[in-house]
Amino acid sequence: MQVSLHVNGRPVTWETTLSQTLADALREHGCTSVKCGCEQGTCGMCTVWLDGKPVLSCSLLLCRLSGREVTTVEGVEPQARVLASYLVAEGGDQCGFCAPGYIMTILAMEKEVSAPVSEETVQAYLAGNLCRCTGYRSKLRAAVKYLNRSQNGTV
Amino acid sequence: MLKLTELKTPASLEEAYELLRLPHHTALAGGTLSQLQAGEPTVGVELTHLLPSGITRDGCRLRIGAMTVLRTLETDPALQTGCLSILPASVRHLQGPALRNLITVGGAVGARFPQSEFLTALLALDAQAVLYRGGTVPLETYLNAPPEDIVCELLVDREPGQTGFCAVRNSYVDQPILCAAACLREGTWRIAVGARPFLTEVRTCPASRDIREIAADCGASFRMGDDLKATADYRRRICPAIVRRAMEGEGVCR
Repeated sequence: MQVSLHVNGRPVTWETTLSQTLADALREHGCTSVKCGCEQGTCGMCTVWLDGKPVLSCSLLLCRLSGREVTTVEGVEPQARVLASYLVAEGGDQCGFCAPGYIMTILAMEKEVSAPVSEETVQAYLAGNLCRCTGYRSKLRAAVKYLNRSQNGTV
Repeated sequence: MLKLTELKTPASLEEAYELLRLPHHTALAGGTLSQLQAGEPTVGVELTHLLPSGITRDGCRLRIGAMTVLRTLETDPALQTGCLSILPASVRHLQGPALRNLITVGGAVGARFPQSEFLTALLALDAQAVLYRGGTVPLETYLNAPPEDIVCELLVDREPGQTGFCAVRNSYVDQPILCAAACLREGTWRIAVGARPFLTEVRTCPASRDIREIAADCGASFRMGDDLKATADYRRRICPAIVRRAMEGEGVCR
């Protein structure tokens, strides 16, 4: 069967099956930023935007997404690079496996909050994003500094 | 992973209702259970396009469409303060925004998870479920004996009375060990206790009684059980404290 949708701003028509998840389809078509961490919808590594809102792409069947708009890290690369620079500066990159899900969550959060943003608020947004390497502190620092950058005088 | 043999997109709720009465037909809403269901192959019946989404004010009530996602409930500006703020309080510890952007109100009600804080808050608020064929029924009635029907909307009073919500969990996003919601209206308490680990239940009692007595009774009368998270005995011991906190308005932004 075929499904037509928008991915990173481009209309696409993809061949799919009744069991293919959005995560698998995105990876198959080159959006390898999307990671599968748990296969259960619990780790947040597969986070992408659906119609602009963060969702778990491993829990969505592509066959149900006709006409929808999907965004991955590949589609928000300029802004992702800015956030990534904060992540690297805080030592929060490490293996990088959870970074795309983290980036899509923080960039989505940026649309909903305004500075000053507290660490507590960031923790609530990142509660569904697991990280194996960093112990979370560096990731939290990076997110807080990124979201408050207009107040800190940095871009 | 859910194994679909076919995906049907019914043109009407009537068609959806008839399809779901057939064997091996599964309703599809948010899809968050897809990864966790390893069952017999099934026909998926798409409901998303047929049911309302969003929260509307209808006189003295809120109408919450079955396809409203929990994240919408969590962030609705009108629910951040006041007695209905126990609704955001009851969903915000469910993992992260990405999951709550998928879980629908209809799916949460239909799944009847025993550890559901959301259902506990709804029971205390005396929410009503609007069913496709069965009309409007108390949510309590639906949860105790769910009919083969489609939940279309939930109705909640906009001014249900004095409320509170309290849950205990091991870590921020963990499922609760125990949760309680309370609502005082016209001299009567509705107190719901969930994650016992049995499905949430509600009791009523007159407000003339001492809060500590009512809370102690809740600890003794709600059936508790053992599971991986806690023993029945532990739940029985902490129940009066969290019921009292709920009755004293914890979890409510004034």
